[in-house]
Formats: sequence, structure tokens, C-alpha cells
Amino acid sequence: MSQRVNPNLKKDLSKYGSKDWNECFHCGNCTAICQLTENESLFPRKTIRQAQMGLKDSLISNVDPWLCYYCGDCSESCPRDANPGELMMALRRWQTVKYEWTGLAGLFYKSLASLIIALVLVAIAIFAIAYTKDFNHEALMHFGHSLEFWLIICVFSIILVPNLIRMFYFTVIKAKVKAPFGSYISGFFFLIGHMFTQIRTFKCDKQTTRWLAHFLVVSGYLSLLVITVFLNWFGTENQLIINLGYITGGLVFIFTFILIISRLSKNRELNKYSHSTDWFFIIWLFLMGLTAFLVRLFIDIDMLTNNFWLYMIHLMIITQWGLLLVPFGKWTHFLYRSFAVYFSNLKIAGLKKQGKL
Amino acid sequence: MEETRIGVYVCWCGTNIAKMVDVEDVAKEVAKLPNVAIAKDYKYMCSDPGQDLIVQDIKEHKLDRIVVSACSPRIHELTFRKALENAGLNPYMFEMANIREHDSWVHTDRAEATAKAKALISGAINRVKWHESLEKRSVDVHPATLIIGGGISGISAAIEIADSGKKVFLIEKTDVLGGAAAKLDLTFPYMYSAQQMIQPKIKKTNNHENIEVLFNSELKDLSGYIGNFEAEVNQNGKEIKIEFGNIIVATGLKSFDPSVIDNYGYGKFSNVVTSLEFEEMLLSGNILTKEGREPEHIAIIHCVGSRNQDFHEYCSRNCCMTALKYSNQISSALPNSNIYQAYADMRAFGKGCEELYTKTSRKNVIFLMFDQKKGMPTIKKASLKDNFEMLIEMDEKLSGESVEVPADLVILMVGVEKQEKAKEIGQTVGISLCGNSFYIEKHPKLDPVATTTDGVYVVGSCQSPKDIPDSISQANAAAARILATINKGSVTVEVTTAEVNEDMCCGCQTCISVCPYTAISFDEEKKVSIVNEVLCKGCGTCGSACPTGAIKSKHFTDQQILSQIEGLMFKSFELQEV
Repeated sequence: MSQRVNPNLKKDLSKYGSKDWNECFHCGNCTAICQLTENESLFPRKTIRQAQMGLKDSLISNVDPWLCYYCGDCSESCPRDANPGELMMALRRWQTVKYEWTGLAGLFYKSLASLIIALVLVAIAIFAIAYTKDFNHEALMHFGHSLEFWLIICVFSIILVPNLIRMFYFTVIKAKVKAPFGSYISGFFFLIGHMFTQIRTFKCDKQTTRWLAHFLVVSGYLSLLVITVFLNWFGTENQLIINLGYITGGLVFIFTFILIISRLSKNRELNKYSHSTDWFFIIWLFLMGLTAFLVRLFIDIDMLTNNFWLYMIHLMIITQWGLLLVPFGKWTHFLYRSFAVYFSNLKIAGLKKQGKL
Repeated sequence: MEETRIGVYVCWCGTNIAKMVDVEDVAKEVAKLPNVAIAKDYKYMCSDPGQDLIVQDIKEHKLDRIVVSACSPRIHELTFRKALENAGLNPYMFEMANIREHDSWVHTDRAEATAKAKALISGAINRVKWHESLEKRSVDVHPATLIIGGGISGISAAIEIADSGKKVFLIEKTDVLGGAAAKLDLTFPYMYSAQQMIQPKIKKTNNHENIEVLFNSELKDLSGYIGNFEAEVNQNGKEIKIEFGNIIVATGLKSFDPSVIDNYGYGKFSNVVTSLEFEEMLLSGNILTKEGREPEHIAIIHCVGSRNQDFHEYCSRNCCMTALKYSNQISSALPNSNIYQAYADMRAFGKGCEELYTKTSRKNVIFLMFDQKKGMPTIKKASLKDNFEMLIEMDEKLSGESVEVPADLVILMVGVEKQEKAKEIGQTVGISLCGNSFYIEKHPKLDPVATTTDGVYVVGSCQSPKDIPDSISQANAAAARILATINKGSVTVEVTTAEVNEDMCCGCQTCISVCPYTAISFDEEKKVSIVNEVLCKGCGTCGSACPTGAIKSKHFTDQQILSQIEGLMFKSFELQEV
């Protein structure tokens, strides 16, 4: 089936990142220099072509953007300054929006104002709830604890899982991937391991420190999630859990702070262009770690009763994060990146089975 | 013949010859041949010391004929003839044996190559014995010039020549000057207005006191030779006779007719237009479909009729950049439109052109590549539910996908081809066409302006597709060459011509029918053929066709050729001594 060339997609895509890629004349340097590109999946040149021509169907079924870790080699070696790395980044944002079924991600990605309004509304709602609880910190903490729990369940089942199913539909079913059944099983174990480690990053040069910072933030964030939500960090008397909480909370805000600094300094290709959603993601992660750390600290030094506002702010940040930034923002790359490797392996297995590789 | 003293020189050409031919042995052996007064070998005969060696030996050893065995005479025959002249000998008392291209470069066995070198030189020695002194001749040059074609090339050359005070006849088949360039709106890559550049030139041409423009006229007949041409020009049915010394052929180009390509539906779809028609649209100031709507999707298809085995194999050279120019113009006029460039290869060859491509790639243009060998785009009518008129189906090469391109207006970048009457004009002035029907220049690298017919120059797109600056450069080069000839006042003409022995001529006129240069005429009184030595190129066709042997080709007499063959056939030098 032939696809229709769509010039409007180009305009649409340029809202998700820089649009230098228009100037690409397909010399293929980017593909040649990329450490991750393999015979089975060549990128980024072909993806740039799809973007230039506005082949929406091809782009939506293309998992390649998620396989790129943005080392920046392609953009540095590009003779036309077409910035292929930034296109892959923009496409990840675009695909995040396309996989998301409610359309809210699209709204927040394209309109900074609507995201800010939503954040403010959530903050007002938390304030209103605190008001109904007469600004009693114990009652609010009790409420907050169950809110966190239900938020996780709801966001996962209503938004994230359906989105993953959509991603599967676009990249496997619609792309007519015919993988043997065994590859679905064998790939799954790799998927789980990869989700938490992102070991593919090591195929790229110069990425070790970045990987380490990322790994510490991810493990810190996940541990903090488990410790606060499931081990009740703010309510527990167990000294081990309390100390673990301090360590993980500290990890999160210290390393996110480092990541914020590097985005500000624009020291790498990756950091040269930051979309508003990048900033919200990383700043809220930082604030979450910081306020959690302070809340527990205030409990331990017995100051929280007189500083009710601290927990209220923490709850506002957590709710904004869980309700807006996780389902409709950059957080989802945690899932898409891992599943993209899974789906890509299915595609390769399918092609091998058909003897096309 | 005993008194003849021949000097033989064997060149090493560095290692070019010496590697495969034992030059020292050759020199030693040929020295033994009769009439050879001296035989030497030398590293580079063409060098100044090499030539000086010949000059000195001629004086010291009283040599009267010279053989140089080196490279091809095409390269250095004139060099050595000059050396003979410097030593006071007639330059035609010289023969060259080619032991490089014909020997060392094409053989792998040293012994055989050495033997062949000896045979070649022996042939040359036998030939040079029969060489005769020939005198160079010169003819006066008529100071007027005929220019055929009033396009940008023709008028540029005309102004150049006329400004120096020489007369120019400019014949133009239509009733306006300017040719193809005058039909353009802006020009690539700098977006200068073609009208603003060309109209003043046209005006100057029309009003120039030294230029006589003959509109609505065609060249009927041409006779004469360099310096002294005479032409019959038909102007609106009226015959005009003019005389001049040189000719510039600037007949220009014709656009390819795209209706022969079914895929593009030219003539079938009203909104499929050629680049020329689009140029008119730009000049009128309105980019509109036939229905009078502003087009939203504009597709430009490149290489229409060019670089395709079925039509023209060559690149028409201007279309890629013109297409980029259109993109820029459309983008300024209709900023919200979508422009698609379906191209086979983007050829941004000239000054400022790559920059134009870069600039264009930043605009609202989508570049789509197709492979002519695998199939050209096809234009189809869009379905009723689409809000545009046509769909172009193509296999996009860089993505490997089959795509459809929406279009309200399609511009076909038609290629350039020869003028309709290129062949007739070529025959009249005595120049030939290449495989692509463009006029052949004298040398593709070293003399791209002159032709094999002396006094006839080719400029502009009739020689090969060209853009405006290249056409003007070539036109001005031809003008300079002609002015140099006029300034000199006379030209040297070839002396190795044919000669009729009137006593032997039977008047059969066979020679007249075979002469490719119309150099032979018939004297009705004497009933014999007469060779016009200025027109004759010395090709020898008449000499070999003459049934009575009345025609002798100077410098290629039967005696010279047969002796050379005899020399070549010597089995060995020992045999000859016996």
C-alpha cells in the first residue's frame, strides 16, 4: 500500500523538538557512525526520510527512535547540521503522544499553558482537601498514603497498560510483524532485565557516566516508591526502613540535581535542546526526592506538626507527578524504551523466520 | 636518392618507450640503413635540448630530412616541424614514427616491441626520402562575421565583435531577439531578472551601427572558406547575398516535448504544465491552475526527457537549478503552499548552486527521489473525496516506500534538445552533430569553441546544454578568436591538399561527388576538375577514387605511401643489407 506524502506532519513534528533535520540530504553518515545500528535495524537515516516525507504510518510503526540513546555522534558528524539525534528525540516525544489514548499527552506536550493550568488545578485540589481536613497533618498523611496507592493502581491500569497495548498494535500488529511464538517468551526475560538496567547503553561509547547517573536515579526513584508507598516510610518506626528511605531519597534529589545542571550547561548534544516536558519531568523528580527527604527529617526532629505546609507541598508534588507527569509525560519512556527493544527483537525474529535477513 | 642525408632520432620518452623498446639498439641498427647519416637516441626529444640536438645536427651533418620516432604526431609533429624550420629546412621534410602509442604502450614483449620499432622507423625513413618541400599559404580575412541565431549567445558575440568596430550579420529565424533566455522570469542561482539583463542587450544589438540584424531569415547556402565566405540568406522569401570571413553558429535549443511520456499525462491533465509554460505564468505574475484557483500542492518533476535511455541519455544541466528557483519563487508567492520536488539526482553543479539547494531545503519543500531505471512517477486523477486534483504515484528511493503525492499543479522540468534544423544548418556550414545531435567542437577539452571547419565556431546550447553564463563565456571566446583572426588580416591554410594533373584528368567528376568538403569544382572550359586549395583538407578521398590517377594528394603521394609500406615490410635489417 502506498502512503500519502504529508507535508503537515513536518510542521507538527517541529513542535516536539528542533527541525534542523529538514536539511538532511541522505548521505548516510549518521547511520555509519551510530554504534547501535545493526544490519537488522538501520537508523537513523531511514527514519529521517520518513519524517521528511511525512509518512505517518511508517513513523508510528517505527520503534527505532526508542532504540537510540542519544550519544550525539550522528549530530556531531552530520555534514548538513541536520541534527539527526534531535529528530530521534523529537520522534520519541511524538510517539509518546501517539501511543497515549486520551489525548492529554498531546495537549501537554504541545501546550505548556495547559500543563501549567493542570498542575495548578491539582495543587488547588490538594489544598482544598487539606482545608476539609482542617489542616490536620495526621489526617492528611493518612489520606495521602492511600491516594498514592490508588494513583499507582489507576494510572497503570487505565493509562499505561492500554498505551503499551497501543504501542504493541502500532509497532507489531500494524507493521505486520510475524514473529515465531518462542521469540515472544525468550524476549520477555530480556525485557524485564533491560527495563531496570538499560544495558544496551553500553554499546555506545562515552555513555558510562551518564548511564551510572541514570541508573542511580532510576533505582533510587523505584526504591523510594516502594519504601514510601508499600513500607510506609513516613509512618514506620523501623530504623532500617527509615535509613533506607534517607539514602534513596538523597540519591534521587542529588542525582537529579546533577542532571538538571548538565541540562542547563548544554554540555552534550543530548542537552542542547530541552523540551518543556523534559524540564517538568526532571524538576518534579528532584522536588519529590527533596520534599520526601525533608518530610521524614521533620518527623524525626519533631517539627512536622508545626510545619504542616511541608507535607502539603510534598503531597501536591506527588499528586501532580502521579496524576499528570507519569501518565502523560516523559516518565513513560521507562516503559516504551524497554518494550521497544522487545518489539524490535520480535520484528528481527519475524524477518529471520521469513528469510528476509 | 644517394645524396639524401637523413637524421633519425629515437626518443626514450623517459621510461614510456625505453621500458619496452631497446632504444639504444634501435638507434644502432637503423643507423645502418641506406641514406641514414646519423641516428641517435635521447631521453626527451620534445624537450628544448632535444630540439636543439636536431637543429645542431642539421647544421653540422648537413642533414636534409629528419625522422623522429617518439609519440603520436598528433602531439608533437608541429613541435619538430618548427625545429626543422629553425634550422632552415622545409618543415615538410620530416616524418614521425609513433613507437609509443603504437608500440611500447601496447606490447608486453620487449624483443617484439623493439623489432616493431625498427620496422616503423624503417617505414618512416623510406617515406621521408620522397618528401617534397611544400610552401605554406595564407589568405586574407574578410572583416565581417555571420552569426546564426539571435539568442543570448548570438547577441553576446555580436555585441563583442561589433563593439570593436567590425561588421556583424545576425540572422534570426523569428522576429524577436533573445531566444530561450528572454522567455525566463528570474534566473538561478541569484534570482536576477532575466528581462532586466537581456532586454538592454537586445536593444543594443538592434541599434548597433555595426550589427545588421536579419529577422525572419534563414541561411540557404554557404560557399567559400575561412576568411572568404559567401552566403545566401532567405529573408521572408527574399534572397540576400552577404560576404564575411567567419561564422558563429548559435542556433540554441528546443525544449523536449513531454507528451510522448504517457506517465505524466501532459496534454491530458490541464494542470500538468512544462517548465516553459510555468515560466510564462511567473512572468504574468499569477501562479494559478487552469481553473483560476491558487494551487495548494505544487509538484515539480525533474529529468523529463533527460537522463533516460528512452529519450535523451544526457543531462540537460539547467532543470535541477531551475526547479529550485521555482521552489523559491512559489514559496515567496504562496507561502502556505506545499511544494514537492520529485528528482532523480540533484545536480547543483555551478557557482552559487549548492548554496541555492541548501537554502531551498530549508523551505516548505519536500524532496522525493525516484530511480528512472526502476520506473518513473505516474500522474493520476485524484478521487472525488480528495481536495486536490491529481495524485502522483512513485517509488521513493531513499525511504524505499511507495508513496502518493497530492498535486493541484504539476510542473514538468523538460529537458533541452537540438533545434529542429540543427542537421540542415550543420550540413550547410560544414560541421557535424554528435550522437545527441549537438554540434561537435574541434576538441572537447582543448578547443570547445572552434569546429573542424576553419572559420566556423559553435557557441551556446547548440553545442551542448548550457546555462546563461556558460553560453556567454563561450560566445565571447568565439568573438575573441574571430577578432584575433580579423586583426591578423590573414590565415594560414592547410598545404597538404589534393592537386589535379590536368593532362591526366578525364573529366568524369567522380572526385566532385566524393569530396566531403565541396572543395572540387569542374572547369567547364577545360573539362577538368579543379581543387580549391583553401577548402581542401587533404583527406585523400578524391585521390583514391580517381580512376585515372590524375589526383595527387600532396604529402600523401602514392610514391610516399608505397615506400613506407616497403620499409615496414623489411623482415630484418640483415636481409636488407643483402
